[in-house]
Amino acid sequence: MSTIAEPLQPVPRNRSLSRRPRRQSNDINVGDTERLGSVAAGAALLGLALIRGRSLTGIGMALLGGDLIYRGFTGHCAVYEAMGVDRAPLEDGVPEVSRSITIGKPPDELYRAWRNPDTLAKVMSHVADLVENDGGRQRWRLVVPGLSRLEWESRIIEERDGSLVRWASTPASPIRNEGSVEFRPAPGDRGTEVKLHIRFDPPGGSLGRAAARALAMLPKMAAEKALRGFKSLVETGEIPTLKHNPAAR
Amino acid sequence: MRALCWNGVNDLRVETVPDPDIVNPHDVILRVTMSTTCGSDLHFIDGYIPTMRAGDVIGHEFMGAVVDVGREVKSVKKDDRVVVPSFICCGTCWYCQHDLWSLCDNTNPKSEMQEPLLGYPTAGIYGYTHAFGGYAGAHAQYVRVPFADTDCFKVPEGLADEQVLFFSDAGPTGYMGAEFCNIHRGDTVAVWGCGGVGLMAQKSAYLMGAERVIGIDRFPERLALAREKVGAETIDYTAVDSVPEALREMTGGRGPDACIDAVGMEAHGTGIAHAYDRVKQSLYMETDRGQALREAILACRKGGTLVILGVYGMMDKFPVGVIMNKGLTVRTAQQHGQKYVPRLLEHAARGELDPSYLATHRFSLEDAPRGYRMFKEKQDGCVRAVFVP
Repeated sequence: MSTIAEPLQPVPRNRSLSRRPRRQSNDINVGDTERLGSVAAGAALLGLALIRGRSLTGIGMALLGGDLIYRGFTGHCAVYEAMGVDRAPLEDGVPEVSRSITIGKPPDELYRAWRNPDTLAKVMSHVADLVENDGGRQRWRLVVPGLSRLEWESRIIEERDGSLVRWASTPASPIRNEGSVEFRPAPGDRGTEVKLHIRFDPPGGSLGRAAARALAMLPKMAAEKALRGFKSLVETGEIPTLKHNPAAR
Repeated sequence: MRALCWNGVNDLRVETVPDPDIVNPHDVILRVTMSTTCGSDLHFIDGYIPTMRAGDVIGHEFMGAVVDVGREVKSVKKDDRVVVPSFICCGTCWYCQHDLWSLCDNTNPKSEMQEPLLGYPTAGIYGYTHAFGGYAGAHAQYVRVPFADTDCFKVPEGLADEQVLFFSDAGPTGYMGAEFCNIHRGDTVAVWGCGGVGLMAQKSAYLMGAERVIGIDRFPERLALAREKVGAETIDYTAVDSVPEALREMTGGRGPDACIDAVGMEAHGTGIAHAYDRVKQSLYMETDRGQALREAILACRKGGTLVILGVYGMMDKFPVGVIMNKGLTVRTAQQHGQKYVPRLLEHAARGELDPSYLATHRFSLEDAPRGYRMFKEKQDGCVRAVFVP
């Protein structure tokens, strides 16, 4: 039941990461140091939230963390806007992360599994909800109730049969990102080395090296979780979970 | 259902919690028929192991009857009477395929908590901290068992619960420890600790052909079990000046060929070294009181084998230079139970191994906190408390 779609026209890399035209209400009005702080605090909270899972505390942390990161990423704060505050210089820097895992299956089987529309929704469920997936185009939604609702679209921009899938968000996405997954045979009887690469382009400029480092923590954990989920799913047919059955209250 | 919950340091309570249910396709639900205390539980009950949460259902050594079966479970059926190793293993990853079961790649849903501590995550355990997966434990009326075809072992007819309960953890842990010793004809094996794991290691060493087995402890009733149930020689460490010296004299000046630590981070000892560990551990300046392990390293013959079965944290004053200069081989692991349970059941069926004497005290589940207290304080000669829900 292969569901490999025809590769779409590749979107040029520079265009896919070019700065989108900013709407008035998204203008940067938060200073760099503060954005850095926002992102770091948000990343820490989201990290904790990932650890806590979908408990109430975890969700609370994720909400606050997600909003802080959004504020740091975009440099836009609704409160500041309401107060008429705007103080924002610009810098460059694009956070990115690579993470590897070895999976005991051959590369082409993993490639097919990755391209299966059900797989992506399962292994990315801790990042965002996959609301639409027609094979070549994915629509993602991240809802932070009462605070914000992010939706973006990504497209597969490059595919090498059995060895690589590369995707990028479309120009209108609020959080610009691109990523790839590579499949390389592992030595001996170990299966396949799978490398997930994620790159973010913070809208409205970027945050400098320190901020990028702080940010790397979050994508790194998210990438690790996605890879672990993918591995468990293809090796055992299920992802380990405590759903309905947690140890604690 | 009723379950034994950890609520804080030295605060265990039996509470009503939600019943488990099947989530993943390879799950089964067991009605627990018997479960037991383990010395490693004392480490988080006493607050030395982190990542516990209030309300955690504890307990990882258990057996039961299957009451509900997931849709992809093939070999396990409703009403099967089974014993289950404490580590949850998928059976398909590289580690499971290579008999390194407790290192399974696919059963820790909270691997991100464990990875910073260990570098790479291990298998999950029932009722044993969130770093080890956060699974609900087995001191309860019911427990969810993932990957049932891999992790449930059917109990042969004619064996009582007490005879197979300890094949969930103490049995395979001790058996693995003895196998790590790579025992040859004429070998002497010394075992620190005469609790459940220590006694199982001693018995297993004999089953594997050891010439002599020496058990070390301080509780007269445990030393008596080592002598009477295992046939081991014993050392009461409070009655000798130095355990390594005593072992040296018992082995013609050579030292034991293999030394097994079946004690762990809350070792008791004597003298200044023990006082030092106690103070540092109570101030949380070190996680371990490591006197037993240090003695085992010193006592072992040159070129011998050191086996660590006890649970430790980040021990300090660990004499790695002694290990290196003496050319010791260090073997250690959390139990690879799925490898050993079939062999243990065969030994039991042939009448060669009957650990039921470990179950010195029996309680209803409602009385479990009292059972843990007796077990911890070793009151009334308690070796293991068992709970019947």
